[in-house]
Amino acid sequence: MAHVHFSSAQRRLTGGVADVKVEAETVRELLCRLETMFPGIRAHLDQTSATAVAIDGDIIPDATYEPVPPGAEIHFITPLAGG
Amino acid sequence: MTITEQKPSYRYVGTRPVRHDGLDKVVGKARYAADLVLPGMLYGHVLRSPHAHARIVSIDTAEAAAMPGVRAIVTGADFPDLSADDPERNMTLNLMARDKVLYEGHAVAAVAAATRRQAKAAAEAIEVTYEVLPHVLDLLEAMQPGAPLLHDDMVTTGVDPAPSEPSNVSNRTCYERGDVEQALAAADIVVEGEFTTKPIHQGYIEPHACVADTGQDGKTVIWCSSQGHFRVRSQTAAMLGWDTSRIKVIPAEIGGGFGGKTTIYLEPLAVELSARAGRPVKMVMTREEVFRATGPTPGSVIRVKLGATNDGRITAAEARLVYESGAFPGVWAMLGCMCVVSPYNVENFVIEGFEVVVNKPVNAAYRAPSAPMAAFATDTLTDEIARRLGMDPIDLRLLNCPGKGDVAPYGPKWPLIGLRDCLEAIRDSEHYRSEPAPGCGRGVASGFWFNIGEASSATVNLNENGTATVVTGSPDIGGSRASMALMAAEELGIDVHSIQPVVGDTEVVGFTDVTEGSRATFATGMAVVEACRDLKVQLRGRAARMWECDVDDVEWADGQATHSGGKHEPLALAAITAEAGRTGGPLGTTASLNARGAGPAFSVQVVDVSVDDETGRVTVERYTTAQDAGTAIHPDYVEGQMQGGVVQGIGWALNEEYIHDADGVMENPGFLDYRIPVASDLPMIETIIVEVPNPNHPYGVRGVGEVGIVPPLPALANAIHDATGARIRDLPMSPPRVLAAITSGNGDGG
Repeated sequence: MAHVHFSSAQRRLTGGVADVKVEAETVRELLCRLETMFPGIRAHLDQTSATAVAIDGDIIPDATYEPVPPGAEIHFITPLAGG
Repeated sequence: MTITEQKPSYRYVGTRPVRHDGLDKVVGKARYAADLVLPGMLYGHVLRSPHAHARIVSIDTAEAAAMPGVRAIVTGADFPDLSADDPERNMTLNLMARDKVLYEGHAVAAVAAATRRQAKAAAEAIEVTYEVLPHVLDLLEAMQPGAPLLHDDMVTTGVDPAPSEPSNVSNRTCYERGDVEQALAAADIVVEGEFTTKPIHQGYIEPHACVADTGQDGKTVIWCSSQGHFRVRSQTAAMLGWDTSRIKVIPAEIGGGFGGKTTIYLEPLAVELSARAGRPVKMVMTREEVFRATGPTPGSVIRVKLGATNDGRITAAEARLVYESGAFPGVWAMLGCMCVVSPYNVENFVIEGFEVVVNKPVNAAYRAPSAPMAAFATDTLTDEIARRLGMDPIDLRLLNCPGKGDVAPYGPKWPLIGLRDCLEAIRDSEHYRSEPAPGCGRGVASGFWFNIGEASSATVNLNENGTATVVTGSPDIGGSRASMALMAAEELGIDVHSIQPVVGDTEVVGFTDVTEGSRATFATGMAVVEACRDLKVQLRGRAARMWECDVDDVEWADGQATHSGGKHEPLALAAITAEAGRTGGPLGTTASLNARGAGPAFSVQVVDVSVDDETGRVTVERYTTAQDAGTAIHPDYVEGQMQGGVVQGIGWALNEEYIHDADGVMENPGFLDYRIPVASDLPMIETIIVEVPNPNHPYGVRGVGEVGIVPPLPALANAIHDATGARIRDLPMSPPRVLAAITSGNGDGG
């Protein structure tokens, strides 16, 4: 089970829920599961221009097909830009 | 000086060979985009808005089109009008205004003519009728109800319920943990302050330049200066509505970028002008255009409140960060929120960020974008806490220092990081252990930046004489050719100068993301290593054929194949490549990857300053920077990046700022009036390379290009306070401002 954490800005999409445990093998599957739990959330989280996914701290800009290891810590964060 | 933890010994990595491209650059032989001349080439010139905010009523190009030498003119109407949800729409509207101009310098039309003078004269003859609109330059004023709106359809995101009215605030973001109100109420000491910074420019010496040659076959070739020619290709294609296969981009040498060349300004205009004229078109910005029309880093207003215990533990942080993003929305406040307390373990915080559009040029990335402004606020306040408690500022930072497994403020747990090592390196440095010179003040600060991975490709070909060519898609903006050659040398076991590192164009090397986020040596280096390791497998196979033995009996070490049973004399790489034609053909391979596991970067710095109490001029007397490089592949260029970051941070802290008049016109668009530091302003910047290897990279690389610019802002503010007793919370700390702070007795804040 992956442990998904929501920032306080994202909690308006989850009705205030700060974290959930989700069974998923890929990020795409995880997003589908989240959508069933929190209808409408996928439209916000599944945009590479707006959200990156951190899997166990490794920030991945386009993570759709990334595997989700058992027990992974998942965060949705701002995609990074650099200079 | 280098401080290293558990680093393997290498033969080539960590040495300091002369860079492969050094001679060409020293003797002036290196070719930049502005150097290129093609037969029949025309010159392009951009007409720019004189107004900060205006509706374009009409554009009449008839008189200009009839002028001598003029071959083509384009306006916004000549480019596709991308849909509102297209992620490249704002980029294209920035390159050429369509209905409104949103800042002074916004492009309105472009002309191609036989000479520069003809192109400029024709551009000036284009008649544009504007309906001037009220403008807003100040980011706090832009947030107010009733402020002039830049975009009628922009509604603030990140707010619940969603607003019904448009606003200049494009986004709100928030990070929270614990109970900050309770923690502040329980704190033994509370400090707070509001800090402001102005937009400043990346200040690269080479202005934007390109040449485009569009043929009758509908294809184009672009030569340009950029931090990523694959992004030039994709953004140009988006602006023109073209398929990317019609566009080839050849990277010219780059004369500095620092984030400002991660986006484009001229290329689609040159391509379209070239298509219409049937001739190549060169476009080169003037310095004034660079200032007026290319991305500065955002101005900001940041309020931070910190609570701490009497023993120096920081228990609470409350932060409100407002960043301007120029004329179109950005992500700058969100990045600032993720950095503002990252060098500290804080159990309770509320961090809120707002992104605001104003009538100024669209902001672009600048070394560790958004982090320096955030650090300016936080690390000034932690200095105040240390002073009030009578603590050494390094000890306070060590007490609150995060490490592996601690939770970063933006959510994930920290991997292995080197902040503590950097703090200890400065604490133990000769600089910090010696007293400042009489009359001088000393300041300390720390800084964080993420570093990133992304996609990279590398092709490595072995030549018949045992030399190698390493082709990558990362423009060399800081010595990356040398770094790639060193990693290839280490892998293949051949001399670094037997390797020719090449930056390939978009048709000779695999896709490579833009050079940003300190990623080139990390991610592209990873691709080079992967390709070399594949080549070593091939080399073992070729040796097995030559020896007529099983490949499992062949090992590769120190640049040669050896037989595990000792039946054959070792075969050097050159001996195998010489026979390549008879053992299966040329040896070469390509690796493409999406690099994972970028290692976060930290820097800690100490500076001594003197302050002239009659003029307010600040002189940097001594400066030492410690930075975790992971592993320094080429220490000279690591030190160069560290020093460059510090010097740009010094300019940001002490002098640089965009100055606009009441009409929104920039008043200092040149290096005479926009003061960047020069060598004679500075002491030698002393460097301490800290090496806490990144376990996710084959050589432990973290990336070094950005974090060095983060600490100088608060370090200098803290040093000026130490020297004068004045706390300055507004940048730049230019002589008039410092003098005013001294004479007003602004000595609050410990």
